[in-house]
Amino acid sequence: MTQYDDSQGEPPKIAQKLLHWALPATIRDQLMGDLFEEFEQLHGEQLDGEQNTLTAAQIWFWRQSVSTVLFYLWKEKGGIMAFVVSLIIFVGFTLSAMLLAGGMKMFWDIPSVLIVIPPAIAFGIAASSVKAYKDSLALSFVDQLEVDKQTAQQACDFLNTTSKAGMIMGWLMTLIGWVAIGNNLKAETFAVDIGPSFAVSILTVIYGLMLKVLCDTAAKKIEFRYL
Amino acid sequence: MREALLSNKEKYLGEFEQVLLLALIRLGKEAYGAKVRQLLKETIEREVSIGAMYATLERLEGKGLVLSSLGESTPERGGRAKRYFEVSAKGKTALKRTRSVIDIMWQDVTLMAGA
Repeated sequence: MTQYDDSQGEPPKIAQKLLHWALPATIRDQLMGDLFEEFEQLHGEQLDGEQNTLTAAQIWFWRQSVSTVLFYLWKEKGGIMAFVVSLIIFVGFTLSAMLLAGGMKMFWDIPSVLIVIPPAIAFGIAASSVKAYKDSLALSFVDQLEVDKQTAQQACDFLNTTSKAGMIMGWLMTLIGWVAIGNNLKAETFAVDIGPSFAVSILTVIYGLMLKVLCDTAAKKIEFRYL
Repeated sequence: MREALLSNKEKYLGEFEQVLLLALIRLGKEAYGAKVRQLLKETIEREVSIGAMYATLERLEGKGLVLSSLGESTPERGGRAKRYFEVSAKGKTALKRTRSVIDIMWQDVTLMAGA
């Protein structure tokens, strides 16, 4: 084998990180070692032939990495991939429905977001703990964590409480909005005011429902995998 | 019928499994990932994904047809250890059985040129 120092080039770092993430710990080091060895051989042959230095070896490493990562992705990260795909589908369909209904602007109201989502999360934390909130995020997006059943259960409790609190906050704010609308409507401006006022008031329920879908999906994932 | 099919599936090796087991036997004590891949490329011009190869070898190991052990690490491997594979006695029996079945099926079969 041609000897050369490491400063002349090494396999692409992003590909290495991808492999490290996707491969199971049982074979990670040995498989990556094999790829490194072949990369060095390929790189060495090119130096002997005075051809282009790194490019072909790096392309080869990328090709092997991508095919290997794709091969192990569903096998090792199936839980995360299913969750991410479901999120993409959910967001995609929701945005499509909003766009088809006449544009995003009518569905976006920052005060409505602020009076539903942060309080719902705060209720979830109050009913469990800050740790349960952090654990719920980690367990939703990382597979094969070493956690005990109690930790997983607390993460589920946080998500379930947040889901319910989101819906309650959504309906509560909508009802408050309707009371306000009812009290402030005037006969001469009724036809102009009722439509926009009603539309804004119902947005909080939509945000509550969106939060519920996400929390319930994550809770079910954790329940299925860890409990 | 389903049970018979399942037992046959367990009993006989697939084409890639046979190729890998034969590569391990040919390489002997030098049978580890990079060498197996290179042998397949040089002898049958087959460029396999190292991920697919490891997945198959792990499956064969799970069935008891292959044994593996960790070897030395070298600088060109980034200090990572090699994983050596060898075919177990059960693996050799499975290879022979698969070959005998194929040989039987080939008896009295003649393919016309261009068929």
